[in-house]
Amino acid sequence: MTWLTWPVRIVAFLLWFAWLVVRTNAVVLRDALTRGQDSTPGIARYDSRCRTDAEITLLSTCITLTPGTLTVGHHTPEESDVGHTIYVHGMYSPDADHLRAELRDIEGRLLSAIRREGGPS
Amino acid sequence: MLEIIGAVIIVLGALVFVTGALALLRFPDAYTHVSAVGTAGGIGLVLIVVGVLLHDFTVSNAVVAVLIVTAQLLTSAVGSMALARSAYLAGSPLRRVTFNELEDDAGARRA
Amino acid sequence: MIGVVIGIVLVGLAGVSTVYRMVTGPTDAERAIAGDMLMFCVIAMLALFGVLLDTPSALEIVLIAALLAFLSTIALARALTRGRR
Repeated sequence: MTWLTWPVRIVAFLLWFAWLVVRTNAVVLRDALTRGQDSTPGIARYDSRCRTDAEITLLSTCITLTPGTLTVGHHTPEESDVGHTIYVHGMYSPDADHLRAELRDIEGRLLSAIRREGGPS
Repeated sequence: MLEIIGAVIIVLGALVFVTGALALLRFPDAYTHVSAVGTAGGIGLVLIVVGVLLHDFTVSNAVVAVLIVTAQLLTSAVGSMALARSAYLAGSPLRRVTFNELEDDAGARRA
Repeated sequence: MIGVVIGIVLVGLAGVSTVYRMVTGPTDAERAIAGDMLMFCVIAMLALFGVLLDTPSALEIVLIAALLAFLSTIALARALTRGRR
């Protein structure tokens, strides 16, 4: 019966994503306006829990639309369609594990919103 | 009333554009630039289009605005990813980088 | 209407600084990215002037321009790698 709550979950995710964009955009704007640079850019590998091409595309789109993070590339092993790996450029994470934790949060919310049966894994 | 909300949304969108332009001026390398431009083109333009729609709200305008919002959110992000990938393939340098696992993995695959 | 004027001024400033980056950008990649940003500024200007001058079909023009911007971005990305994939 979880498909009944599907539109509600999508709207809730969109609202949460708008709030995320506002927060991160404020961080980028403050860094661009104040003197000096306090960004710590880097590229992290992220092994995603997405199962289909559509899900990995939506996840990459959300990551790119968030200010400060950017999907640079992806890699999929030939023999199977599971195990999508994406490479994400982040500007305000002190190390790769911190960035991965943020991506895991976005991915969990996105997957439990767009999957009709719900649940990220 | 609708016009006031529209004006606020337009100013918000313009502020996102200013953020992108300031990032273009102040940030060090191509990847941070792409990140800012993808946001400005996607979110900023969508906010401005919604504000313009609220200034002149008709059903046909609303249909076109929904088309613009959907197309712009998808194409701006996909275009940014294509530009970032091309910049990486063209050997654009990363400046002030603190961690780079893409270079580690690419080196491991070449070896 | 004052919001539209403020928007035009802010987006215009963003466009001018984008042109500056396009002229001085040290590498090809940064010039291409500035070109992409300039296209978005022009589209935002189209929408805002549509309201200011009360143009009847401004949003249709914005839709066409947004789709063209995607094509130009992909073409710039392809040109950056000199046609290699």
